Amino acid sequence: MSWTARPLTDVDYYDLDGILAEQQCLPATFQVHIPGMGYLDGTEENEDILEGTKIPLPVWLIDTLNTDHEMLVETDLPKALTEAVLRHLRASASKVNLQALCPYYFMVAEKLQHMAEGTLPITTGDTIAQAFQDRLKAVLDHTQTRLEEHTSEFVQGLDMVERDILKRGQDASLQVKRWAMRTPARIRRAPALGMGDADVYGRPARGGRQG
Amino acid sequence: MALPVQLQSALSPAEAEFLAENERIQIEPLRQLPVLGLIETEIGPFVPPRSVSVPLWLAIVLKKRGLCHVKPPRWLTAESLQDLVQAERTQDQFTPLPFHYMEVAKMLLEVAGDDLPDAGTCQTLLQDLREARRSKARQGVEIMDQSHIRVDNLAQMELNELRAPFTMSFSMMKRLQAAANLSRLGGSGGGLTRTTAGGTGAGASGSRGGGGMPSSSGTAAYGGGSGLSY
Repeated sequence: MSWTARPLTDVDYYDLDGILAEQQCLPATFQVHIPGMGYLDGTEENEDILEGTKIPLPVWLIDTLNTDHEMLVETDLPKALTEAVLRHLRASASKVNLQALCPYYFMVAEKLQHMAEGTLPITTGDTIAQAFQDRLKAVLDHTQTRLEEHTSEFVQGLDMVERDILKRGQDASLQVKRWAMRTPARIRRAPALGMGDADVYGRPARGGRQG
Repeated sequence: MALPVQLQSALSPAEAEFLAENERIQIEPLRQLPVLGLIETEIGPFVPPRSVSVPLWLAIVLKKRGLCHVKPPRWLTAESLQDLVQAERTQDQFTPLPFHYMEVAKMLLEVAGDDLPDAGTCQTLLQDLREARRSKARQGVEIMDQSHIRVDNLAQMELNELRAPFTMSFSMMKRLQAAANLSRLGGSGGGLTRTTAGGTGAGASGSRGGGGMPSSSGTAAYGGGSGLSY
């Protein structure tokens, strides 16, 4: 995975997170009649896609179907970008559970803004950028203080980008901690022998059973 | 790149320690040694009891073989550390410290503990110093602006620790900001239509004061900077 300052619409073809983010679906209404692709709606009923059918399509497909020349589908705003959610983000960004809304919330929002080219309400982008920044404070705080936390409620509310930042920050802090205690170079009894972290004489590192 | 993720964007602490070993330090040799002809420089001659300035790695090697005494750097004494901790706790900014203070202190305390007066107090004082600086780093996140944050006097190890999460955060913030600018300026109306009302098209371009250029900055310690990729 590579982190760059270029938007998702550019190259990064192999970016796994980008691929997964673009997999999110939006409700789409077909504007034209497309023969032979009736199976896209998941049922065996129709052979063709009739004009006006609503099918949820992934973002990458919508992007390719709507070129500058003609728009084959019309899409609605996803639930994640509605005014209600944005208002919630403006009020208290860190309390919103983005994982439940959309696991790749920020990447999808970025992609949609690029696709929409200005047809979204003006403040959408700013609200989202500001929300990211507000939540970031809590995330970065966690990277320094809670080094072992992986499954708490706070973490469950984060979207994938934030989880990534959290994990990398925790790893970095843990590495420094281990280096300071010279953990890699100390001889310890193997955890598989049942004592975990006891030193070579069998004395447990934290008060526990004696060997 | 086939590097593990942690190494892709920052040094490992062991690498930082390796880099710190180039720092010069004063030693008093205990035996006479000839001039050492190394690739970059020549070190020596070692004539006891005259003190010589050597790189840290050499000092550690000699010390481990009992061939020298190490003279601690001026900042590695109980009193000066005490002052530093005091200054750190009272000031808002980070106090200036040697760039490799953590690594040098650790190596010296491990290997040359007997040459340092009050090695034990030094250890605890260093912990205090580190804690004070860490809490400052946490507060620094509050004032983070979208494209850069200016922090002076961070040491190598601390910088390294903050590098990965901070660069990722800045990258993402930049991307979101660029997308927001696109939304704000309006466009020809691409592949998305909205169900909520309110045309934004032409009306958007003049309405924001700051104009359309995303603020980018190359300055300061944490510039998220375009073209940084990991």
